[in-house]
Amino acid sequence: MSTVNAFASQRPLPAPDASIGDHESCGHTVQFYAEDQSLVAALTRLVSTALGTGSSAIVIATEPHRDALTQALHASGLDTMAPIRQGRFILLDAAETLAKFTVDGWPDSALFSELIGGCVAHAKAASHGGDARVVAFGEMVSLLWAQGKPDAAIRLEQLWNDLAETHSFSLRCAYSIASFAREEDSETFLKICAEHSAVIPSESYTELSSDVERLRNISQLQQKARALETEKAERKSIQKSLQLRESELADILENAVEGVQQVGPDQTILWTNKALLNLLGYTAEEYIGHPLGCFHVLQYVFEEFWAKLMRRENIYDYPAELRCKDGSVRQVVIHSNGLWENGKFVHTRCFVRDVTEQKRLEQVLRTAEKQAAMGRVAAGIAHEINNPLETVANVFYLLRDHPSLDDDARELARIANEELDRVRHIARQTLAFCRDSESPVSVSLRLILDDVLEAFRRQMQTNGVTVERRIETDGLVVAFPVELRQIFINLIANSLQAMPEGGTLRVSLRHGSKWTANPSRPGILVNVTDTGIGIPGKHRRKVFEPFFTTKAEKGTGLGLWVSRGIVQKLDGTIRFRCTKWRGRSLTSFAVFIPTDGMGFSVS
Amino acid sequence: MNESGQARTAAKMAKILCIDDESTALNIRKRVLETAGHQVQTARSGEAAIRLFRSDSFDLVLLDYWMPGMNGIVTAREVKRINPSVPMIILSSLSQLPDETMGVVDRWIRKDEGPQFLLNSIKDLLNPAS
Repeated sequence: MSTVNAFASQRPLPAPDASIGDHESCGHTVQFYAEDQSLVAALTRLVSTALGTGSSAIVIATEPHRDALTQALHASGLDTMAPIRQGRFILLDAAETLAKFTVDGWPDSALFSELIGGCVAHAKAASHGGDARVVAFGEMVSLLWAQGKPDAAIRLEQLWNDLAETHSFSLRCAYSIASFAREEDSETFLKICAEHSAVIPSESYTELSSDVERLRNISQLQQKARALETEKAERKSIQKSLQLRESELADILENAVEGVQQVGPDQTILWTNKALLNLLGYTAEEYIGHPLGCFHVLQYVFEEFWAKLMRRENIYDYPAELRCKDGSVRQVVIHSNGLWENGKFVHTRCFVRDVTEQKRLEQVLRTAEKQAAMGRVAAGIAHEINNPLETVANVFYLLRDHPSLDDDARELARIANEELDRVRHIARQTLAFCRDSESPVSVSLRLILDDVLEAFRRQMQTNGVTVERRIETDGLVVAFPVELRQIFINLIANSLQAMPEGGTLRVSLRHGSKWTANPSRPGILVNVTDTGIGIPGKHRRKVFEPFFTTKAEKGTGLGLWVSRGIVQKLDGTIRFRCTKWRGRSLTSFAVFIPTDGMGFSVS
Repeated sequence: MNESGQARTAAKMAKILCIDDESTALNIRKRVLETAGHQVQTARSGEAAIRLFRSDSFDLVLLDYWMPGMNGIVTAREVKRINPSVPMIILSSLSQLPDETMGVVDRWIRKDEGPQFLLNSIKDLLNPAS
């Protein structure tokens, strides 16, 4: 080993680096460091020792490390120019050098051997003195690790080891300990250490001054490692629980019966669950990512809803109407509020409940209640009217044969009695809405029709009306017999009055379906068709209105209104149609009464 | 029915107990019945009717259904209990009476059927063979 030469003038050189004497002359050491300055200090010692003893130093490092090394060497009084000129101090850029022997990111052994082997040979030749060595420092492996190529880094370590079999040099590699901060780095870390003959821990260990301190440090590290392992296990367990919980919550939301959705600050739908998609009939692609306002029927309702959200209000039972894919509308109520972070609106939390059926039933109930109330009022009035009517009728009966009346007075009494009959008829028809029994019974429409047709038989014979029946079923429905009888009395009476010169009356009774979008609702269809004078077009819209009649003095105008009321109470429908057939008018009334027993569910 | 009753029935006349809480209606109804040759006694309440029925014999009872206090059906039950052989007609404005009514009275007539219908019904009840 040569003595310290001329460049050690101004400052004492750093203490000799024991690594040169302590390890084999061709040792491969890895140094881990926490701080760059710690690496530079160690490298400075390594290089200055080598150069001071006539050995050569090859430094393949990053530019910042090279610059720091050069500065430190100069600060220590070492002249680096002379060794550089002599070829004993070789400074190379780590990235540039790496690029010269990697092919497709993988270190090529031939290229490495030629390039680095040549460099080592050159440095060896330039060194002088009996014990002159070549000391090499390289952080190309660290670069490969930093690039996410651990296998390439290990391969390069192996190439260095291979080169050491044919060339004499010692090598120190360096890695920042921060590069191995994750659990999954452990295996590779050990592989890297295994490629080296010696490992220098980071400065937290190397800076300890005694074995006692180092042993204490090791114990402490062991304790920390154990603590970390425990904490890691606990965290994994917690994470697993959290993931399970998240999964459960996501499942609850995704499969909730009510609709749930998130809407972003630009009113775009961010997410929705299956229930809402199924309710509206859209696929996820057709709904998510679109403006929420597109699906609201009433824009002012949506705008008010959004304004409330922007005012940070919590919204409960907000009624709205949503448009489905098939064009239908669903009535919903919405609970909603917004998620705000740092004063910024992130998204809504919307819960949507379908109340379409509920609203329909409420409407049916309101209608039924109104009708019931009207019926009760009508019943009350009719009942009250009947009492004095009976007395008046009795008075006219007495007057009819009263000896004090002359013919004129008797005729006036007769006219008054006839008008009274009309009033009694109206009261009777009005009372037809009401009943004292609250229980409908199973009624055969066939028997009802038979009764009614029998009642009108004499009149039909007199008028020359032919009856054609087409009865295909008994037509059992749940209803009040007197009300059903009233319906068909009204219809058949109207038909007969439309055929004063005779004609044909057709009555049919069969199973059928309701004429709505729900064709599966079963029921009984009754058709009453006459070949009478028909209903003039201008009157057809008023046919079911109360007190509308085309029969001048004979009609009360209540028959069809009463009939429709009774049918509607049964949740059925009544329609009519006027057509021409073989030159004759045909007026047909069709009554549908459901048989699924739902008609009285709300009454 | 006693001998005088039988005689009246044979003559197609009857002694009728007519009950109604409304005096005008009651009096006019009485006159209508009398034009058909019937004898009529009236009562304006169920209680008064029962007192009269106990103290005399009648061929037929004609009651209004809706009466305050002892209503028509309650009165009819009491009459039937005292003498089940006397036919009863109940008058009402209602379109349908409870089934229990039909088990007590012989006929239910709506007030809007008119006086002739009432007289014919009385005649039918008193002379069922005809």
